[in-house]
Amino acid sequence: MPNVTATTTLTIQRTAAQPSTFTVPYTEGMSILDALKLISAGEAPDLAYRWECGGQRICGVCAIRVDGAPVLACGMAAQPDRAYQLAPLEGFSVEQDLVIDLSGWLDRLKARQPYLIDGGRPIASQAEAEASKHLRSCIECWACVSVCPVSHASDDTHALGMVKLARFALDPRDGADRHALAVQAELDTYSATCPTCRRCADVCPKAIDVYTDAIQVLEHIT
Amino acid sequence: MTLFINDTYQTDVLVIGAGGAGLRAGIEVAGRGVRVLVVSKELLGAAHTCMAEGGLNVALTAVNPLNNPEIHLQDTLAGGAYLNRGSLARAMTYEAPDRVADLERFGVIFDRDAHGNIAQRFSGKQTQPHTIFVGDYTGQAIMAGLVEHTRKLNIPVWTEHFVSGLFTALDASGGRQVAGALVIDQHSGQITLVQARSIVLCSGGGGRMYSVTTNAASNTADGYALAIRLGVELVDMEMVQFHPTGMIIPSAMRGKLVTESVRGEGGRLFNRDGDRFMTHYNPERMELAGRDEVARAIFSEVQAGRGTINGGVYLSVAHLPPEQIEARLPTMLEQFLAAGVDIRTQPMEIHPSMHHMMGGLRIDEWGACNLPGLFAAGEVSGGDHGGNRLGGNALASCQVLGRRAAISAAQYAVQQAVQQAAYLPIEQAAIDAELRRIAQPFSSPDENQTPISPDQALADLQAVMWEKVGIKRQAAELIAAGDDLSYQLAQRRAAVRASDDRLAFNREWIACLELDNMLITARAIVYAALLREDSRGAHFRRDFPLPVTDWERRNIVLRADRDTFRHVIVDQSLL
Repeated sequence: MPNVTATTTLTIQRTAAQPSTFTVPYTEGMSILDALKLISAGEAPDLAYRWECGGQRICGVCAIRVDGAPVLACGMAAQPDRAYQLAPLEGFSVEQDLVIDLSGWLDRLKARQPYLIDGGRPIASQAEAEASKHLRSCIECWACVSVCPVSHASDDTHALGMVKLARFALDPRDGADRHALAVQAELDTYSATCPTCRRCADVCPKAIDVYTDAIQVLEHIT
Repeated sequence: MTLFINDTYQTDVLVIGAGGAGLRAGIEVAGRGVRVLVVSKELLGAAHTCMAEGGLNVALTAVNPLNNPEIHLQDTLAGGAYLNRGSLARAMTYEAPDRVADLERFGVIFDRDAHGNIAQRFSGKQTQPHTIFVGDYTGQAIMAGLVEHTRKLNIPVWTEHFVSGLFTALDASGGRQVAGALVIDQHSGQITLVQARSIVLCSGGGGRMYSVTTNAASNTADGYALAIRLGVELVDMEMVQFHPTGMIIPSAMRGKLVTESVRGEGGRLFNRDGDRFMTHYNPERMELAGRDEVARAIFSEVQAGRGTINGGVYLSVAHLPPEQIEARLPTMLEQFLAAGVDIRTQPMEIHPSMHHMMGGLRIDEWGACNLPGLFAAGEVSGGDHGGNRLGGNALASCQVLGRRAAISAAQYAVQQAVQQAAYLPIEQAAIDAELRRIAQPFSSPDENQTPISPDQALADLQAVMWEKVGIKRQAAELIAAGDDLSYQLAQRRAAVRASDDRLAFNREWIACLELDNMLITARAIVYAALLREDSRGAHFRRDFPLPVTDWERRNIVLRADRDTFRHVIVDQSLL
């Protein structure tokens, strides 16, 4: 084995300072999140970032931009002797360093009634269970919203809200008129202005395509 | 630095923690029309429960006429080495079907079989297949439903807030009861005194005490320490579950969970020589023996020199149809592909990883502790799982006991409000003492001490716990661990400091407080592990390698006594 220590370098866009560059030792299998943890345990104890599951790609809180693209920091492998540019998710106000402020976005999400409005009957078949399964895998990491031009142009709609509306539209138990709720949430704006760039699908850790999997579903239900 | 209360807030019921138990508790209290506040260290939906993969155990007789709650109960008691508090295990197993129905009302959809019934599979040590699931991300699916229902009921949740301490107050009869909590907003550093008529503690486990763990960042043993500081009783603290299958390579992924459903689907364990070694340890149940047995078997194989070059063993599903792996184990497939292993054709390399604390606050079947007004559920409580938790029972327990603790807390709060409209006053001296305690990470280190970062101090703690309080224990190592922890606790107070004194976004400040919680809890584990000269459930003593009859159905109950603990040994009623 060659006795050379590989490193990984992160340049982080920070709130109160110029972007700061840090170099940490590389270990095999290390994620971008692991590198952030080394930095905060060493050179930059004041670095603000979120993490919980730490590599299971399931809690959804560590989404940031790496080299411009939204990713789950815990799910992106760092490479030896490579440099990365890190920034908070685009389109959100930043609280501190890599931590974004979700409060207003969560309020808008809640306005979409993102919960089961009981129509009073259970799931009856495997097909009924499967219908919404893909959309139910959403972990609310906000990556889709960060890249969605429609989400940032409107005060009333965002990609995640549309995913939730479609998830309940495909749930046969749900008693609400999800089409009407989607129209209230400017479904028409979405239909008219979504450039179908499919960046939402590219950045979603669960490969949800907001246009195909949500908008088109909501357009066609009655 | 002197810290101050920035704000006060009053609620009938305070729920601490927003995982499976905490959200279920919040929903129950709110559903009864009682004012509730949920406080959570992480964003809503991101609690450790979302990392549960395998499933939830429930006997659905309507789906499988051969199954019933009594079988689930007997499996749970056998799995727990008959150390369970019977009333808790009974509540969990008999009520699980109703709580599963609740979850589906909240929005969850468990995977169905071809007939449209909820599908069930085997997990470890089950007589009938009790485990229901959503792929291999059941915890996330359950959290999503609980979050949705929490939003529907418009329950206030303070996310990214840290509860540093609990307070008691004198009640009308001259006794003490729980009365509030000190809560730090981790973004602003603002401190709120929350007054509550009752509290439900659902703060989760303490996996972060160990260097190799499957646990989330938040699992820093906070709830055990909150309870210990108030003299609340803990039970079974020596019972620490090591999940048999954690990842081992690459090193950065060490400890990461490899779900039990890999074995539930038919996964096989092999040592370096290709020997399916479970034939020597439990030929009847093989890979689906109890987690304690399988973890020890793997550990023993590695210790005997039959492990892989990386110090683990092989787990293989390569004999299964690739479609089954893709449909039933998608997370595992993805996780190992990221590590360069295609589990459809190649074996995984695994080693046990710290996973769950069976011990915790000693509660009755309605969540009550020995401190009036304080209730607990979920991993922070103890007794339901006995000496070893069955895979799938944590999700069942948090739903059943989370609801029950909430019912108790809501009733308690309503009764209190009738007796006395005003909230019980919390003594200023207690508040001042807590404010001084949490300001301590900002003070100068003691004379002649160099400041130590909380990250470094945590690594020291994790090394002690992994090396000396692990899968197989012995007196000499436990005594050494106790000495190490006493030293680390003294060092924590003398020299472990945050590197600056800003209040907003000061991760190191909170890390110092979490470290205190972990050190205090770790000492409770060591105390109980040393006391139990016996091998039973997850607790294995090399110096007492066989079950000792005197310890049969006996539990260790601890409470704080100045700088250490005192204990009683109780005979467990399995009824």
